[in-house]
Amino acid sequence: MNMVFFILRRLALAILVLFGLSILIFIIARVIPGDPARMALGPRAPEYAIENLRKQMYLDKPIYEQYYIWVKNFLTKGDLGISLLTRRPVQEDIKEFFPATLELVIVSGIFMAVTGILLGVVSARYRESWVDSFTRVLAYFGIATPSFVWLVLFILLFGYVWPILPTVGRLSRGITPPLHITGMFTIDSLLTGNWRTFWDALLHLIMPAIALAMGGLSQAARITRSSMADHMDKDYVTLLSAFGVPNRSIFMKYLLKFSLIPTISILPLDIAALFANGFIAETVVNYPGLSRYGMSAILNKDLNAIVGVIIVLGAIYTLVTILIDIIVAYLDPRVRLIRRAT
Amino acid sequence: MEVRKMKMPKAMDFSQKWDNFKRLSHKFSRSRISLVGLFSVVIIITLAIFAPLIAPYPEHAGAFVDYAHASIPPCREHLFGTDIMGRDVLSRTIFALRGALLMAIGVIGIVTPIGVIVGLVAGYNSGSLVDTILMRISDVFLALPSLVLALAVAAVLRPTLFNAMLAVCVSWWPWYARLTYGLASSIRNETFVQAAQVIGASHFHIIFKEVLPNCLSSIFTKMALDVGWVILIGASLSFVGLGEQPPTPALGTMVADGARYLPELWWVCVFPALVIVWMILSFNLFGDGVRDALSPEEA
Repeated sequence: MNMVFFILRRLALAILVLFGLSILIFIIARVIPGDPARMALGPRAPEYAIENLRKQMYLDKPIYEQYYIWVKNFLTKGDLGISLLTRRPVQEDIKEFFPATLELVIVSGIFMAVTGILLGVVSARYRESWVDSFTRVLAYFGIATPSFVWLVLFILLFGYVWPILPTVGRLSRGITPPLHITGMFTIDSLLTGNWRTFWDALLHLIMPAIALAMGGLSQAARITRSSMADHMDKDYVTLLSAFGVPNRSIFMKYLLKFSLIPTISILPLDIAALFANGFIAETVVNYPGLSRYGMSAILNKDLNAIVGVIIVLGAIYTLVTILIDIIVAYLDPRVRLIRRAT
Repeated sequence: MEVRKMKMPKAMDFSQKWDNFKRLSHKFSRSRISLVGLFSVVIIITLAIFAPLIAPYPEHAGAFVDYAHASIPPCREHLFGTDIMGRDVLSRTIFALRGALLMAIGVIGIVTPIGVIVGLVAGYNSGSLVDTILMRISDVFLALPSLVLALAVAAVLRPTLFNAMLAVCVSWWPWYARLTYGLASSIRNETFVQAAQVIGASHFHIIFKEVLPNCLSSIFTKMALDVGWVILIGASLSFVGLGEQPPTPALGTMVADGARYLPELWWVCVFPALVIVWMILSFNLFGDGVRDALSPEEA
């Protein structure tokens, strides 16, 4: 009961925050110097065409009225307006580009979580071993290196010096995209049993996915290691081994669960932030996803597209924060108790 | 009853401060890796300040063209090679350190006072309407990964180093507000704050003389740890062309330009990229050292 109330309260707050975000981004997108209609149509467009477009986008109205119309259209029809760049409704663009980015984020997120936690656990278990030293060095470099730098280095190494991975796009030329089911090429090609496409799509994902994952991976490894090392020195571990509980089951049953809490409370946020880091990474490898769409919207000052993409990202990010609280409360009974007490 | 004027305890005098400093620097220097960071940071700052004296070809930092010496791979005259315009990559990289450092100094210099004041005011009045309004506003800014917000703001403004700085500030102040808020809202329940209230000290006095000094070590730690992050975001902004404009060199821009000539002219992009990593790494190591020196619980 308490938990349900807690979740509902967080959701209500999240909606409030998203409203605030939409106002913020609406203002930011509207103070752009220059006339967006003129920019969209080019310098040679006749005056009446620009006047029409301006009317169509409600740019002739004051900003609060524009915002009101935008909110009304969004809430009643799910309409986010027309993109000036693609000349299509923004919500359709988002629907089209989202699966590609989601696919990249999922692959990258899985890689980040699995490798990060594994490295952290192994280096905590075998302290001062070579894995531990490797993890420490990797953690420093992983956090200090922007994803675009990883990507540029990967392209140089695995695209040119030792060309084993494709450097641009989602599929090689000559390979037809699979039937649209989820929009994620790897899953769709698996569902239709098309192994060649699956393999090709996967190869295209590897480089951007690993480049994006490096930062979060290093952080996860570092946090997991230090948390687990702390827990290993706790009294309950000594007690358990004094009772003769085998090391293996102390490790699997007790240590793993408790010492992963700090990692789990930060990892999902790192994964959600991949959408943001993708803004640059997807542009570098020309990967046709939502983040690249967002980046081109920002660079081309495509008002409605900027607002649309940012609201979607904000919603994802906010939901993930709530999700983290729920998972942590589930894993750590102390958090639940404190909440009940207050 | 005689009302005596309350004497406030005096601030630390110089010798106490010096002792404090010696203790902190001792704690800092116990970790060899923090010293490496410090050493590296000093080198970076020196290179940036004295760039015109240190760079082998200072004139190459601007709009300089010398096609006769274009695209030379790394050699003794040009350690990092030259780009397609014949400009020395090493010289340009050294000059680019200036922008990256200015970015970090500017952002942290602007963001810290704003965030700290918001956090102090909200935390001191925690539970009130002011608290709710200020912290909900900062939540709005935190509802997006900072890179996206910075990109959106930077794109709206004209692309200059200063505007890139502002853009990062917009997405960065809430972190300081939130940190100070957490500290202030717990410190205000301490007995020394209540004592000051009972004596009748002004809110201004309590916030800045009682609460703030007790937040400082956490704030300094965050500032030290943030330098690397700000440099990273700044490099990302300049990578997409939203920072310092050519011909002035910027690390991100150099990587982006160089990436177009991969793999033949690999040196044009690889060296600036490695310098970005070196810079962030040095500041992170230094920041870790500061954190360890300032953290109270130490075995």
